[in-house]
Amino acid sequence: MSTNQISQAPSATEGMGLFERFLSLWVALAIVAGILLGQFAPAVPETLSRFEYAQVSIPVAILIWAMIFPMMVQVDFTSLLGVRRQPKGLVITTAVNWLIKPFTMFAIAWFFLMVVFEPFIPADKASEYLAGAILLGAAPCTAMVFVWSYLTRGDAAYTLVQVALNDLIMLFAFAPIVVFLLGVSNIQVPWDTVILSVVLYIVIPLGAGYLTRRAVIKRRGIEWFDNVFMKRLAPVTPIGLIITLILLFAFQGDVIIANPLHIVLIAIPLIIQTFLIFFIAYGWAKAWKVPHNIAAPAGMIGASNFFELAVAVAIALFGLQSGAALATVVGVLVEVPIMLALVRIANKTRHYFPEAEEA
Amino acid sequence: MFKHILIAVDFSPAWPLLRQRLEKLTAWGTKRVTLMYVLSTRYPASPQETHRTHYEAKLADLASELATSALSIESQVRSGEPGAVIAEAAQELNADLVLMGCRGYSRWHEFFLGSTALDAARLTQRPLWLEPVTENQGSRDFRLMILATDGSQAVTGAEEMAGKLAAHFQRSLAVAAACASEGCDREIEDAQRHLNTLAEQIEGLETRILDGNPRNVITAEADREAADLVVIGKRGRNRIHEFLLGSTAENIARDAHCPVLVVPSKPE
Repeated sequence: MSTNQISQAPSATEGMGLFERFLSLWVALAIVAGILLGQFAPAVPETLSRFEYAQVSIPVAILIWAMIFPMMVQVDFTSLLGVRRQPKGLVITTAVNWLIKPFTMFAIAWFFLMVVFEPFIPADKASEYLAGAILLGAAPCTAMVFVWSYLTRGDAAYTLVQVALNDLIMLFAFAPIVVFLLGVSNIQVPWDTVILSVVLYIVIPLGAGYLTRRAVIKRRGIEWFDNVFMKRLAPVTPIGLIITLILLFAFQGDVIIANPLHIVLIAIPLIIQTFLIFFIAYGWAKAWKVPHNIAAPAGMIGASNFFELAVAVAIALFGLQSGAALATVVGVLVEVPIMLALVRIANKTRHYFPEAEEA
Repeated sequence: MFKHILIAVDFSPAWPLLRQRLEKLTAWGTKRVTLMYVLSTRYPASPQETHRTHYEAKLADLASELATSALSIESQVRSGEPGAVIAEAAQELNADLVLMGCRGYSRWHEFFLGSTALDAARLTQRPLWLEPVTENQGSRDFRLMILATDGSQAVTGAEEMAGKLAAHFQRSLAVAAACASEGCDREIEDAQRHLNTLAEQIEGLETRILDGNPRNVITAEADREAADLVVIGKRGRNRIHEFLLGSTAENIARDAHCPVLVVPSKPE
């Protein structure tokens, strides 16, 4: 009576909601709104930035929790029980995400920002942009990856396991990777500040999400959690993201107006890195004869960044007005067009991979 | 009339209404029903794959409740963008009708969270019956059907469908929205000529020209007449147009207080 299947691959943008389909446009509008706010009503962001506790901006912390918490509530650690289901895919993605991606991001961003674009970007700004790129490279995608997986007819169960595994690894690996790569870049960040960021923006949302999930499902059941609770909570993420960006650009207005070219220059290494990581994971999957419904999301998870976290930590470590925060937003700006290009590549190369085994 | 009906189940308060509607529609000769639940991937949702077996069991329970000797019931759980998945599944399974609930969300809600029903209305290539979900509302009877037409290629499928449905309703009314003010004689004449042609084809069809923007006057007329169904056609629009304006069909589906049957245009 019951069948279990993934639907046919939709066209690249048909299977996307309005918000994620036009994310680049909303980010661009948030940049404009933020700059206008900063230029014509500077008292608003300045007043908000004064509410601090232990050097953490309270309004920004609330916005970032709003952005991240709905994702963390959905992380299902029981899915890790399926970790043996697609061992090759998990090995590829885990290795690419944690042993390769942060370091290629650092190398590519350093080469472009510090060497190739040296005549166009002052050294101090280049260092800040590099820090933002490092933060983008240090955590793989947690939410948008399900959209990319679906658009390539990927195995949703595998994608879920990989995301849960990544979030677990992130708890322990994010801080050391960030501190190491920032140290190599001569950007000194105190350990305690990094640890505070990890606690605030990973440990607390992940722990609160886990407890909330358990409590809600226990009290109201799976259907209420999925179809009522999550539907009420979900809009908080995009609203949090857009308001954070408006606030961020209220502080960044002068930088953007003075150096609009910087956005393009920052985007170049980020785009190269995205393609490179995709092809490493996807090519590795091809070499290991992994089926396409695993290979495609395996490529997408590493290529796509956990930009919400990167924005959060950049603000926490370097401030709203920093170049690092600007660089992480460029990551959000280029995310959708680049990932849609990769979706098209994955769908057009499907025939090079073995068919998925029947569930 | 609808041999195979695909129902989008979301375990919300819409289900009792959809079930009542299904029982009424299956009386018209339905042989096969597919129940479908979609694990959403809409940002920032993670498809709750660990809940898949739970939903498979729930759908199987619903299927066994609905099954009769004359009706074959299947159930499926899929993953993806719900509106798009439903529209694709209807095409793939060759369904004659898609039945789903439609809530009147605000545009802000739609923007940030989307609307499965309106996404399906945009993408469907099969007739889509949207049942409004409001509190304390039972499933309506088949008293009055309103066909909204503009005489274009886009509504040929809707007109053909209305012709088939008319026999099941006590009254059928075809409306065309046009500028009915002074100086619009030509437009009114064209609309009336088209309505007259339809009236010759569909027995007992009443006709009326409404003055104003179709997206407003058709829903107002449906409310005034306490219509039990509005049948509308939809054409494929380019994405920029869809994004900026939405389609008339989408706007009527969003605003109507009665069921709306969206019928895709027939190929030219």
